[in-house]
Order: sequence, then structure tokens, then C-alpha cells
Amino acid sequence: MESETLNKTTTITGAEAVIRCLIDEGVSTFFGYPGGAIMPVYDALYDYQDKIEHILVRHEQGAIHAAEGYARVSDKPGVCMATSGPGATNLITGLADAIADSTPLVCITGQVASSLLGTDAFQETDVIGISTPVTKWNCIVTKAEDIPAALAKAFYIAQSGRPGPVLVDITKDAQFGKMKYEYKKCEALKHYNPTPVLPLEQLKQAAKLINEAQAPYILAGQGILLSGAQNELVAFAEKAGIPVASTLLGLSAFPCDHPLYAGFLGMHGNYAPNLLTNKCDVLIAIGMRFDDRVTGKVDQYAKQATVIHIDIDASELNKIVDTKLPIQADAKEALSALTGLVNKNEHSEWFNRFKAFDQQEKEKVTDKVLFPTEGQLKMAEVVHRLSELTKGEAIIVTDVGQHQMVASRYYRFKKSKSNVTSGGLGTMGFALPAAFGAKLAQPAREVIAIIGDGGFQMTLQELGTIFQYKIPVKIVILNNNFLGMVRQWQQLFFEKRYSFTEMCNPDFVAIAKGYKIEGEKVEQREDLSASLKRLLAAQEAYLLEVVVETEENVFPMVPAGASIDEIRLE
Amino acid sequence: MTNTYTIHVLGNNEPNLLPRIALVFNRRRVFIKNLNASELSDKSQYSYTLTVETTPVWAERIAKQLEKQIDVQSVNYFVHMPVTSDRPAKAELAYCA
Repeated sequence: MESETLNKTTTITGAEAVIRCLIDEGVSTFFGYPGGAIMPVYDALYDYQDKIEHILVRHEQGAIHAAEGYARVSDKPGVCMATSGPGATNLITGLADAIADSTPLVCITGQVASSLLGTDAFQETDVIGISTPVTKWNCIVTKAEDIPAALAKAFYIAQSGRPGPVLVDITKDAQFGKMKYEYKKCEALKHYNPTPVLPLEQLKQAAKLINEAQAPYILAGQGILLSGAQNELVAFAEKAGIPVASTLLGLSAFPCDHPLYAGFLGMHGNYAPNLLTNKCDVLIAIGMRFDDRVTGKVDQYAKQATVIHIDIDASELNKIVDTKLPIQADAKEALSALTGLVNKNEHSEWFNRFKAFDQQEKEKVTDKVLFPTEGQLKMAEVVHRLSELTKGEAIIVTDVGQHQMVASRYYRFKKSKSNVTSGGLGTMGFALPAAFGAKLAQPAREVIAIIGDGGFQMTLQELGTIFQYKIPVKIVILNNNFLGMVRQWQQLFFEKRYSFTEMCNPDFVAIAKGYKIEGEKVEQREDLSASLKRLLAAQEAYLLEVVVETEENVFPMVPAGASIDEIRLE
Repeated sequence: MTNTYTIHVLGNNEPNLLPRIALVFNRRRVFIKNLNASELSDKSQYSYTLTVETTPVWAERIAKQLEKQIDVQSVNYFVHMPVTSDRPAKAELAYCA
């Protein structure tokens, strides 16, 4: 089926139009799982396998997390496909994850024939109703001729402004229907202004505040990565001499080895960046949304500071933190303009305050977990060694829990778009499928999934996908035989009542081998480096189970509901 | 302190916009006391008028959330002011945004 043979007079089915739209939108890889109501599209796909790659996952949740991983490390939206009913509802967690983390996704679901809508037909579910709270936009298509316009709109909305997931539900009769195919990419929508006009006057005011500041401080979020403003952030920070701290999703937007890098914010972030948020005089938040894990107790958060908040989404401004200067703007454009407006400066006295707290954290926390000499392996030393061996240049995909916080703290990201994790929703089971999605988007880069034993078992069936498509993703399971973060909270805040957090785990290496994936288990400190080297040297997928300390806690920690001033080192 | 607000949303004539608007309120536990939805003479447009009781902060947040919905064209909201001797009935609604 040659694409060249299709022209405006060619009549094709709606199902074939779906595939044609994906190709015309530049989609090279997508993820999905067939079923009754999407079968016409899969039948059409049969003829296009040389033009577009479809990855058959083992569960629709795997498809959408893989699409998320794909999107997060590329400049393209992730695309996934599922059937009606349970196929579509299995996407919901991923949609919620993607809208929380501003991940551009286009999800296509099959639906029963339009005559059966609302009749409780087999595998009929109100997918539009269910997905509305967790999509940036969604629609149902009941006519074949409406498919190209709906998909063009979907791709545009998913990627423009603050990105997010969209869903297009296509009835089976629309898939079978005939239409004259013509595809026009959507480049604008009436009454939708995703890119705000740069507010130069406000930026001048911001520059004035920054120029007069004695202790300015930048909080960098994922908006930097989404707008491609990494270089602009470095240029701005260097010219104005301002320390930069990163949110969880902002990690890798600013190199960890840069002299102005202050560290990681949040509940388990670094000591200095959290404490000094309440000491700075001008707080410049860019592309971040003051998540509760970053602010702690909001009414004691940065009260002394004049807050400048730059975000593309107007609804984020003044949502959580009272902001003196809310600036709705694209981060890249705003930073570029600001760099031209600020004076060259340095704030060495202010920056030295970070170093003093860094030293305290090093002595009380970091040195102990990175360089232990006895006892069981610690998560931090595994991540640290991995960071050294990969020179901070790998893509790290993490799940949710202690291992996620440890990886975020100790992997020294040097390349941008290298941190893929489930931030806002905190979805266990995210990492394994997201990792192979990321690997398919960036085949030349090393992609390492770091996962806890709990999260791994939520989507481990996706080893089947890795096996089938021979995706050379590396998997490190940090196994403490506990749901570690919940256990930590039980220990600290629930009188050590370990209610249903201890896990009886299977032989993970044997499971991997069942899928013909090589693997090994390491328990001794002296064996760790060699095991990690074998993991990295492997040309194919490889699973390394690391047995780590059973009841290790992640510190520093801002207790839930406490001020960031109350961050604990032990 | 809560006030009564009238929120007017002008949107595209898209069938899923009404539930999207309702969700903005429901998610924040702001109950809709009155709702009117009507197609305008320009059939591509729909008008929604809602009455809710909420705080000024939440009224502003809700308006911003409504504005970011893809098929919403504009959002205006008004606070109901009590009628007093120095504030005639015709000024009952005060313009907010």
C-alpha cells in the first residue's frame, strides 16, 4: 500500500485513515493492544507495517506508560491504541499520570458501533465520560470522514501550550465507513491561544527585582525541558549568578555538575535547597507548579521572598503561592528575554550558605549511604556507582517510592531529558514500560530502569514486550522486600506498625530468564561493581536484582504537613 | 468568607464541554446551585451560566481552570453584593473578571 498512490480522490476506510493520519503526523512508533472494537484499525495496520512500527504490549497500561516514556525523552507525542471497554479503561491510570506530569499523548480507542452507544453493549463503556477528568481534551468520532480532523486536532492540542494527554474514541462503524482521505495538520484553533505573547513589561519588572536582589534563587521545573529552555536557563543563571535548584521533574534540565546547581527540591530533596527557599529574597520559579511535595506547609513557605513565577499555564500562577510577579510565558522565550535584561552579577556570599548546609548533609547523610563499609547494600551506593559508570549520561527511568527518591538524589544527570519518572500521580508500575518506550525513542542512549520490588510486580508482564521486540533496556530492581516508602512512614509516623508492607517476592532473575532476558542477583558489596558493569556491557536487555537493606530510610525528609524549615537529616 | 458568584462561560458547541465545566466545580467541591446552558443564535456557540457559593480565591481559581478548557472562549464572573441603602438593587452584581 504505497502512500504515494493516495490522493484526495482516493476512497479508504476510516480505519485506514487512522493509520494514514498517524503516518502523516510523523508517528514512527506507537504502542497498543488489539481487541474487538479496534479490529478494523488493526486490520488496516497489517498493510502498513513497513511504514509505522506498532509495539504490541502485554497490557494497555503498559502501552500508555510506554508512550509516556517515549514522549518524555523525545520531542514527539507518545501514541497508544486500545480497544473499547476494558482496553480503554486500562488507559486511565496512564492518562491521569500524563496530565499530572504534562506529558503529550494521543490515545486512540475503539468504540462499539454508534447504534450501540448507551445500550450496555459488550465492551461498551462511556470512555469519554471516564476520561474527561484526566485528559486535556477528548472526543468521540462516529463518522469516517471526521477522523482526520479529529486526529489533527488531537495532535495539535496534545503538544501545544502546556502539553497533555488527549483521547479520540472512534466507533466501529466510523472505522468501517468509507471516506475520501485528506489530511491537514492542525496549526491553530479558534479561541485557543497556547503560546502567550511575551509580557515584556513584566519581564522588565522581574529583571529589576533580580538585579536588586541579594539572595536570588531559581527553582527550575519540567517547563524548562518542555520548552527546550535548558541552554537559556544556564545562560540566565550564569549571567545573573543565581543558584538553581530542581524539582523532581525538572531534574536533568540543569547539569548536576554545574557550579550553580544547588540540588534537588522536595520532601526527600537536598538539605540546602529546601532550607534556603525560606531565606532567599527573590524566588524565581520557572516552569514548575509549587507541588505540595516541594512547598511543605504552604503558609510557612518562602514568606520572606518576593516571588516571580513564570509558567505557560495561567491557572498555575497564584494557585498555591502568593506571587508578586506572575508571568504567563513560555520558559524559553522568557529566559531568553530575561538574560538580556539582567545585569551580570554573582552572589558568592549567598551561594556559600548553600555550601555550608551541603557539608552538613554530606556528613550526616550522604557519606554514610554512598560509602558504607559494612551491612547490607544501600540503594544510594548502587545509584551512585551507576552514575559513575555511566558518567551521568544515561536516561534513568524510575518508578515510585524510596528507590525513586534515592535515584533522584544521587544520579548526577549531565544530559537533558534524562530523567523519566512518575511525579504528580506517583504511579507504581510506571517505570518498566516507560523505560522501553524511552529506549525506542532514544535507541542510541543507555536507558536504565531503576525499580523497586513492589512497583516491578505491577507491570512485570511487560518483560514480554521487551523480549518480543528485543529492546535493549537495562533493569535494576532495588529489592528490599518491602513497600519501602510506606514502611518508612509506618516506622516514623505510625509507631512501626508495618501493616501489609512486607513482601514475599519471587525469584526475579528466574522470571526474567523465563522471558529469555539475561539477569543476575547481587547481594554483596564487593560484587556490585562487576554486576553493574555486566549490566551496562550487555547488548540486549538485562535485569539486575540488587538485594538492599531491608529497613533503610531515605533522608533528608520533610515530614508531611511540616514546613520545609523542619527538614530532618536523620 | 464565601460569596455567591454568577459565572458565565461562553464556549464552542461541543457536546463534552458541559461535563468538563461541571467537573471543574465538582473536583473542588464547589456545588452548582443553578445552571443554565443554551445554544446561541450562532449555533457554533454555547452559553453556560452557573451560580455557586465560594470564596474569592476559589472563584478566581475556578475561572482560570475554566478558561484553560479547550472549547471555552471566555469566562466572566460576578459576585453578588447585598442590597443596601447606599448600594441600589441595580448594582447588585459586581463585575469581577
